[in-house]
Amino acid sequence: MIDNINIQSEDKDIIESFKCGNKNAFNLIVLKYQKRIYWLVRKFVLFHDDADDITQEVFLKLYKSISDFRGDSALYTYIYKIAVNYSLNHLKKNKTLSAHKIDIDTEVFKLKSNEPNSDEIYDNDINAKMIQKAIQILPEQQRAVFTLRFYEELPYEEIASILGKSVGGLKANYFHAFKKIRNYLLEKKTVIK
Amino acid sequence: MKKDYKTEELLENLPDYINNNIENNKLKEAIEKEILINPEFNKEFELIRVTLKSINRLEFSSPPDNYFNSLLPRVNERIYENSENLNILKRFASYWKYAIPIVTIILFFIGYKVIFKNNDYINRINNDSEFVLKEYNYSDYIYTDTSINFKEKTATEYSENKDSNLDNTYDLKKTYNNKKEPVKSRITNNEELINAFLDLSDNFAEEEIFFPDDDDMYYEQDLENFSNEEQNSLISTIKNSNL
Repeated sequence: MIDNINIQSEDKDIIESFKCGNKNAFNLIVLKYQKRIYWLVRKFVLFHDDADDITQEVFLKLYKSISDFRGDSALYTYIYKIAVNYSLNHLKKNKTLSAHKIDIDTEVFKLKSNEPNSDEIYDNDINAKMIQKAIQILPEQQRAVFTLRFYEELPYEEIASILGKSVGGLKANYFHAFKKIRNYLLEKKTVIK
Repeated sequence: MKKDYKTEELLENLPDYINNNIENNKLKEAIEKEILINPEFNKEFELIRVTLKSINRLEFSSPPDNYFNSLLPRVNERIYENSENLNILKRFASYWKYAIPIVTIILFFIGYKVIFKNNDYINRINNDSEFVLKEYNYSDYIYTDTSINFKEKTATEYSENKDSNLDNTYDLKKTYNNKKEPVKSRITNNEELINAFLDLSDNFAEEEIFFPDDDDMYYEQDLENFSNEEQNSLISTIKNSNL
């Protein structure tokens, strides 16, 4: 049973197989969660190169600690917490660096609309850069709440357990994150539509 | 009528209201009411709505093609590198388990030797005047090497070649170390006179005065040039000086 695992198998079976010495079981975990983890990290750190590096770190950490995983929570929640912690650590370490990274012509965002006219492309390109910078200059805590609530749509209770903060405080952080982004865009006279 | 929610509380829930993420109907109604009656609140609502709309129009750019196909091999590579590094660290850790105490002991021993050697040296300088004399007066003549064997060898060579060696410095040293005789009362020939000078030089040496090299070579010849009267006069002067 344990030897016949595949990517569709239950997480607990894959973990059990790994604990029994099946190294291939870990590959299944990576294949199963790589996209979700990458995008989670990417929304935190914005840049692909950073997200790539952190995603690998997350799986490396998982490989080392999976033997200690007791199954009290879902495997995804377990990996998710590792990813959030690594992303937050990255933001802490690169507080000053990332603020300057915006000057490098790196595409972080693209338009959702399919066929905009040239004026729209221009406006949206400016908007994208400004929004990217506005998110980057958010304080670490506000950025974490903004990412987990806005992009990941996690309930406040779950965010509170990940970040170790009260729900009331998180709501305030979320509102102030938007306020800061808005003020930044107004200050830079960015076209807001 | 008393309000159920403070304006600040309603403001904090505005982003969730705009994103339609509020399930509490009472809270939702309170926000809608505040938007209608409070112009400042309405302004905040509009600005956040527009900001959210702007952000929502954007999405993250895609990673490079085949990125997710190449992720697993790179993760495995990092796991392999990490396990290799761990093995190296483990190997070093087992060496360090022995190396650290050994290095500590060696350093402690060296420190001990340096400290006590200095103390011993200072004590000898303070207590042993002979040592001081040896160190400071005879070093140029005798201690060309700190090895005791070398000193003994030098002494032997000097004794063997004494007749042919005009430099009697070594005899002088020997006299200092082994012979503590007083200056003879009567001197009748050059040999006795030279011995008297050697004793005299011992006394000078004790006062940290020594003959320079050039004078050493010729003082015997100088004495031979004196007449008997001059020699006797010189000897009596020396004796009277109580040196």
